[in-house]
Amino acid sequence: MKLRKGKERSQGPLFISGPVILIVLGLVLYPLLMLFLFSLGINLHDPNITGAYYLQALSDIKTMVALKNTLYVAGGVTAAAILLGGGLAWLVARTDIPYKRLIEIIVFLTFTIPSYILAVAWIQLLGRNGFINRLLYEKWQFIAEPLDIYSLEGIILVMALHSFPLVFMALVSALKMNDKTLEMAARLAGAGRIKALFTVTLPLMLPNILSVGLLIFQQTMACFGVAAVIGLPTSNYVLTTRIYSAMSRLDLPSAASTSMILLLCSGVVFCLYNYSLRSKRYINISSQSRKAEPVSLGSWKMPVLISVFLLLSVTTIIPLGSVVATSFLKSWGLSLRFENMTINNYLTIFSGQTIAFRAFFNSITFAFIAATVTAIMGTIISYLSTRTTIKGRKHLEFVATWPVTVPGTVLAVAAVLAWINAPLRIYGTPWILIITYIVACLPFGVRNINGLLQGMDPLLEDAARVSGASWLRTFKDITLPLIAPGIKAGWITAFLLVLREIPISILLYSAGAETIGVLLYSMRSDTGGLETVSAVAVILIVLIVAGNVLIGKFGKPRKEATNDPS
Amino acid sequence: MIQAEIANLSKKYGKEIVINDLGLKINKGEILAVVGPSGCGKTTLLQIIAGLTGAEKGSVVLAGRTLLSVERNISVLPEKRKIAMVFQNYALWPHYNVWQNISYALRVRGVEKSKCEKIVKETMEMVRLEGKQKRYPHELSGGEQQRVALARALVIRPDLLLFDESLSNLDAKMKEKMQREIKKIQQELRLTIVHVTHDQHEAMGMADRIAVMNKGRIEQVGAVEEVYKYPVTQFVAGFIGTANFISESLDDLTESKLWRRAVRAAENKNKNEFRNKENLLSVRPEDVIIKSGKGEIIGTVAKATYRGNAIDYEIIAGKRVLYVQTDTRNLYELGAEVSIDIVRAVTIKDN
Repeated sequence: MKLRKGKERSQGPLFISGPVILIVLGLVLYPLLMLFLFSLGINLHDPNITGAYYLQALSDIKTMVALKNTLYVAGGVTAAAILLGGGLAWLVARTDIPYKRLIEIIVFLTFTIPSYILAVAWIQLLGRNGFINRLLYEKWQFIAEPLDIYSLEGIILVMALHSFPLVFMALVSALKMNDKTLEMAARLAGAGRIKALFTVTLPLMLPNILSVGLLIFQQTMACFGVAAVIGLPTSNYVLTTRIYSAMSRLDLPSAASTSMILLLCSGVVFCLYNYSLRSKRYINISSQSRKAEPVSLGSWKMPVLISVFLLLSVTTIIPLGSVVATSFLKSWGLSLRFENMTINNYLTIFSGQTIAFRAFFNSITFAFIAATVTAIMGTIISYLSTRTTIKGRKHLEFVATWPVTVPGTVLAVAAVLAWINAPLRIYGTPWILIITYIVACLPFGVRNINGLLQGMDPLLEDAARVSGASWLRTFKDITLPLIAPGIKAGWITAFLLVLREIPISILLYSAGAETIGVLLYSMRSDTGGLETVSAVAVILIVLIVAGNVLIGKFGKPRKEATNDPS
Repeated sequence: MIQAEIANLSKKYGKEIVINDLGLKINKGEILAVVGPSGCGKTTLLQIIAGLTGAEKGSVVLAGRTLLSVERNISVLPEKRKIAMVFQNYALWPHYNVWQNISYALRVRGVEKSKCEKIVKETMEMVRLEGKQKRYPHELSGGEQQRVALARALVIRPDLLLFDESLSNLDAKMKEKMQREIKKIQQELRLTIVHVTHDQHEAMGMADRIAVMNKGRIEQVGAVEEVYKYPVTQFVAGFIGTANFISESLDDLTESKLWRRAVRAAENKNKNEFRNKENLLSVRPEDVIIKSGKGEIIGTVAKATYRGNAIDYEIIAGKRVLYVQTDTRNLYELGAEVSIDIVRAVTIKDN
């Protein structure tokens, strides 16, 4: 007869919790703590708190300009994405516009293009030697001056086009879930269609719009790749690129203090986002609400449809086409003729000799390790948090999901500070990359699995115990199969996240440990490499689409989107 | 013969006492219904018996084996208890088909395959699920899901079978049908069943005995008829069926007339009990007789509800409302004056 002392539900072996807590604290909390202490000027040799780095950073006009630029870009992107995504969402969810499914798929395709690659595509289109400028300016002389992508507005353009699918997906599902009888009641009360839209539907949507807007604001602030590739050539700094240039000058104090400023801004916005998610619950009261009559576009149907597809061509089809076309060009700058085409760009990647091959090999290896560790830790953390009563389980979950608010650039700076000194010196080895990837991915592992565990009735496990299965057997037979979709989704999300990750990669890689991100980034300035970058990008997009098909999320609205890490 | 005995059981959630020094004996081969309002601790009681949660004090003995004894630091794991449970929402495993769900307990125990097949087949016939082996839970109706849950619990021929509000998701007709079938299977297999429910009709429909639970304690245990006819507390009288409570009154004439009438009609095991002034009298609606015309006690019809086989009246008598049930032969208009008589009452403890 076995003895069991627990006063609560049998919890299975809890010995696993110790190591997991240590790992989470060590990997997540320790680097961020080091960053915080360093930014205050505290180190082991000089225990005075000075705050001098902050004064230095705050009094530096360049930091302030970068902060202002960051807010300008994030605000612009949010506004543009809401207008674009919201309008499109209304058309798809509430009108009788045809080809709704096709529109949803194209929008989702836009979402799968890493923002960095979208930026490269727009440089191909709008750069001084880009396709559009060559047509409009050189060939047709349609415009007096070539369009210039290298500006803050260029960043806004690319980020807005990258972000609007998020708004679209969030609002389509919200509009579909929203109780349509409310709008009907407004119509019966005498409000016209437009009046009903602005007095009932829109105010009801406002909390959803607000929360997705905050998410985009935060993600844009955290974005590095687009800001770097478009902003850096003309010295238009935002906070992330400012941290990056401080790091490349080896100016750690400035990098740390700027990181803390960015971390604070991002954290505040993320808290608002979380708060908005919690406080909006009252609005989705749909239960058996009837499907509302879609608004008839009447004679506007064709013009609207044509404009929508024109818009989608600009946002998705043209950039995607440009990247694909460039990936088959012998050399960037040649015109799109058959004799200029080649598949060599792809062959070089797989030839085994080149840095491109090494980057792919490394990225896939690192992504595999990080995704697997993330999935395992995510499972254990979620299980501890939802199925046991151990003290501090919610704190553990909080710490593990915290990195979602931390921009990759900041994670990288924190990692440098944490892992540069003996005996914990792994800086300069691939391990610092892998560890930091794990930290960045952990929130997605935890969230994917947590959602399923929370939704899963604990009685299913109780039923197995009563049927005679031991804790381990129950976990294997019942729990694991039922959370498997979450583990799979978490693994794939993490894997894809690492593949397209840029800031952590370029700040932490060492010779021999180059990754896809490093490859993409280093080829940006070197126009000779644009064809290869495009080929890499095409492969990456194919992998991302395949991954999303595997998760089963393709074209479906998501509750919550993953960060774009580039 | 006693199959299971629960003694001195106490359980707290934080500071809230859920089970309060509870004792209960379950006879072999009976269906014992545990009824009580939600939050009375009846589900927690089941979970402690099944080993899904622990207790602060007390013991559980089943078929001569101590499953839980906090004092002796014994707690048998749920999977070793030979107890089966039918859950309220059935808790069928969605990734297993009917056959896999039902056979699970046998497979986990390593029962030989041919024997396992035989038992599952028998059990499926018993609950009339033939031909549904390959279905998944989501492809079944509510009634069929209920049968799978039942079959899953039956395959191990448990020492004790626990029903946790297991019938409450079914509609009234279906519920009656299941009750008859369960009763039949129970007698066939000589099962001991503890059936937890908040629904007194469900409890009375199937059980041999009823245990009425309130605030973590068992207030009364007894045969169904006994509990209805001789409730010992106000709570039991009010929870099992409807009751009029009458106490001695000095300032209201009608009330004191009712009290004297009820005392005369009192029928108790212990006749002297009602002399105690702290006691109350409980009168069932069908034990109040109303007639049109004059009498010693007069009331006015305030509400009448036609039930088909009976009529429920609310009669205003003095300052109080009296619940009365009559057959359908005599109808009384709203506002009609009626004379009131009480033919049967029992004394209960005022709690």
